[in-house]
Amino acid sequence: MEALISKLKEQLIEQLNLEDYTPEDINEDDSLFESEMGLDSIDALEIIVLLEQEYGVKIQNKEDGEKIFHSVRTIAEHIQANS
Amino acid sequence: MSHISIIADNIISPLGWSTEENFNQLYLGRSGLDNHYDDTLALDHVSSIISDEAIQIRISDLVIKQSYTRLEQLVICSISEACKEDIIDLTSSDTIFVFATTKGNISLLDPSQNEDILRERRFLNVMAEVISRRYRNPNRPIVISNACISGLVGIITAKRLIEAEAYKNVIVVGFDEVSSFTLSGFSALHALSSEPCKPFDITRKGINLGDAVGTVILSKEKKGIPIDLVGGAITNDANHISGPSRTGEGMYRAIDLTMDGITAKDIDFISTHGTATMYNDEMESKALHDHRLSDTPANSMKGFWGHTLGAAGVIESIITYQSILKNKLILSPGFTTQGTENKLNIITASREEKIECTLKTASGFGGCNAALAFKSK
Amino acid sequence: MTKIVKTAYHTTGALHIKGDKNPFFSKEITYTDRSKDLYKQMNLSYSKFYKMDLLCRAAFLCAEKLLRDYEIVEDPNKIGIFLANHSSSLHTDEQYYNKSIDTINAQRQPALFVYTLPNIMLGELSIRHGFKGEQCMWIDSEFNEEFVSNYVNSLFGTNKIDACLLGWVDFYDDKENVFLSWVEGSAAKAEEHLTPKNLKSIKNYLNNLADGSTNK
Repeated sequence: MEALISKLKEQLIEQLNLEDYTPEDINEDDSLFESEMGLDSIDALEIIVLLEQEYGVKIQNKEDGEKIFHSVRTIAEHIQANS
Repeated sequence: MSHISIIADNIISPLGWSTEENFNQLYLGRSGLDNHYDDTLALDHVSSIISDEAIQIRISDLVIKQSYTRLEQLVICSISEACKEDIIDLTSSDTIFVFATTKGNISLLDPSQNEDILRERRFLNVMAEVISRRYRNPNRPIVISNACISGLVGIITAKRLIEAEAYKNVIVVGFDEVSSFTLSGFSALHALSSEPCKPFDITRKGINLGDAVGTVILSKEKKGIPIDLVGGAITNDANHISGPSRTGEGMYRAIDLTMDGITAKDIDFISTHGTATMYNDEMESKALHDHRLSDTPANSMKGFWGHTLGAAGVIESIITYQSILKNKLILSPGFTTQGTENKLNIITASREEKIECTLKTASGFGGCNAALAFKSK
Repeated sequence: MTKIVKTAYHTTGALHIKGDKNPFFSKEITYTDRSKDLYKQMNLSYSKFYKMDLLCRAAFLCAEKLLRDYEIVEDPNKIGIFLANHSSSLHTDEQYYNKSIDTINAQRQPALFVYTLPNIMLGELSIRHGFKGEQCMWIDSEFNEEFVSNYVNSLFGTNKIDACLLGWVDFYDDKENVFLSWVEGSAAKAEEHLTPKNLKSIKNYLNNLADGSTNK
């Protein structure tokens, strides 16, 4: 799980163009959408793309996405549960 | 202000090649939306697409010698139809073209489409120059590319140009076509509905796309239909680049600035932007509610033509003021059950009604909003 | 009398206001790197920058230079933005097309698609600076000083705006070509009025910079 969380942080930084963040800056339990990273609905769509392309995990509705993407940890848990 | 006249107009869509044909089809509730398949994307989609065979028949009538893209052919058909009574001198320096489009000839990005000589036409100004030169107009055309409000901005700009006495006649042409490019993009945004769209409905799932061209000619020197253009404003939410502000404040202000000298009670009909996305319809209904316009008969025309992007503001405006001339309210297709927190009076069946003043709204990516009102003279 | 208060230029890696003693300059080879280099040199802190496409970055950086340390007093609802360019959003359109459509490994690119409209940069500038008034994006072969001057002056004259940003922001073929002017309806200090003639000299100055034929 830890390795997945670590990899996810790097992938999120790249997919979402969070260039001024390092993996150390992201706390895996912090809310992604309510933090100062300022992620929005477009970022949620990009995370859906990331999950599908890197992990083969499909999310059908973007509304479900917004719940699953609460934090890096919840994303990792969803991946583990669905791969 | 009151000496600006609308002297001609034209709409081309799958529902017809003239304003009259389109208005009649809309009144009867006919839609141009149909099932289609995009080979490039391997995507089934519901869109409103003009048949290529019909275009070829019309083109041969116009004796077009030079090579034009499909979209340019449609634009030329529309301008020629609007101008056919030699209604104005297109070669005069007092006349100018204002073009409005979001993507223009974007289908040219596909190297297998069209010949090399047309590739330069992916630049919107080149496309605009080619068309205005065809009519031997001496002025550099104005090209507006401002997302989905482009068409309405085109009409507002034309009004302002005539009020400022910069020109006597302005031909506004709004256009866009369905393409793999736009289908792909809206699909990636989860904004494309897999069925006919349902503006303001509780089960709405997003937009459909559509081909269309709309032409309106505004003039200071000729007398036209007894309609005045009132107000006209463009604003920005300054909130998000692809979603409207939840408060609807930008749209609220655009409507506010347009309702100069008009109260909510004066407005008989609202032609909304109503794209059928969760966000747009929610925002727009809030802005209208805050203006006490919730009881005013309203529709969205996106269920007839799909979202025609650059053409939308023009073709929907034409139908909006034609509704005043004909005293007919057109239904809002796809609507069954109220689906926004602020409920609107959505027209569910076309009917005759005395209409003297109408409001047209639009909003687009980039946080922009626009509004314009039309009144019986 | 509307006045051009000041103008910033951004082309060939340089970012400056005329007469600057210390203009910003980046010699990175690609604009992706030039833009990031300039962002860091300017000590900016705006993480949305990295999400922007290159056209928006060009507009953003030039506006940062122009408005840095400048106190804007006008009502944001009456501040406009009027931009023109030649290439629309074609750089990003082609990128989107190549990544999403014309490839065996087509990937969905929702964030990139949002930038395939030239007016998005007006949206980015609106968000950054809080400008909520009249706006428009025009496409032309070159900056049309007659039209822009007359149109913008008429908006001041009809009290629709009290100030605005206007200019040319083009990005294509990895070349940034930008000028942005800040215009007010009643500036005491500026020398230049908003006229076609003055806009034309700004345009010519930018073209000379881009061609490399002016000593900075």
